[in-house]
Amino acid sequence: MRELCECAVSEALKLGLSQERGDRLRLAVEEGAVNVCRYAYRNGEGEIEISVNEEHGLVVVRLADEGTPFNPLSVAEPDVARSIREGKAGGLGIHLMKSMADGVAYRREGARNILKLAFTKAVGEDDDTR
Amino acid sequence: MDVRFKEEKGYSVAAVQGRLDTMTVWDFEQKMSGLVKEHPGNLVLDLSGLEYISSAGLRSLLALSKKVKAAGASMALCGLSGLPKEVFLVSGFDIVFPLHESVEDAAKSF
Repeated sequence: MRELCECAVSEALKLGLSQERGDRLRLAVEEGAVNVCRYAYRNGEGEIEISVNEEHGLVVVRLADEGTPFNPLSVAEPDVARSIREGKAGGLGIHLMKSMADGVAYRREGARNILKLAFTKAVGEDDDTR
Repeated sequence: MDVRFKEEKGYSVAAVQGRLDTMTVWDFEQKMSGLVKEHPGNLVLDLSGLEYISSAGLRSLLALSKKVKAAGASMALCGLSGLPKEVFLVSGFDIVFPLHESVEDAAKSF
């Protein structure tokens, strides 16, 4: 898992992503990959394919798996205060993944889940655009 | 990930260094479980050395606070900065764990 995240960050930095954005990318990839393991491959092992490319001036991380159909974007936003009072924190990882990336997209392609996480290359971009 | 622990007057301080992510939370939970058992009482988590936290780390802090509470004590956090602090704010965890600047401020909240 650590290698997967570090590889993705390293490739993204080569494409011109800032260090600051790279830190966010690392977190988004960890959360995305953990969710693939937790939901798409709940019943066993499987592969996650990760690629990092530039698309329309953005650095895009693509996570593909062949597990059960699972769209992380369809998971409801967690009611965090309530979850914490009740002693659980479900949906948190997906919420963080969506918050760290500048854009997320999901589609089902044949037998695969394809998740794309997009990051702008601009340094010091304000967070309140999200 | 490393934890440095010390006893103060009326509370303990656990300073967490490094990363709290999917890979390190198990180790963190084992360490803290032992420490909380040996030193029941109010606990300040000094997170000024925390470089990175993911949802796995947030969940382990939640579990830790429940253990501390079960022993009749409270847990307070301090020292967060950078991306870890933003993760707390984005996740809403700061509502349940108010963020203090220093160990002394955190201790005052008990």
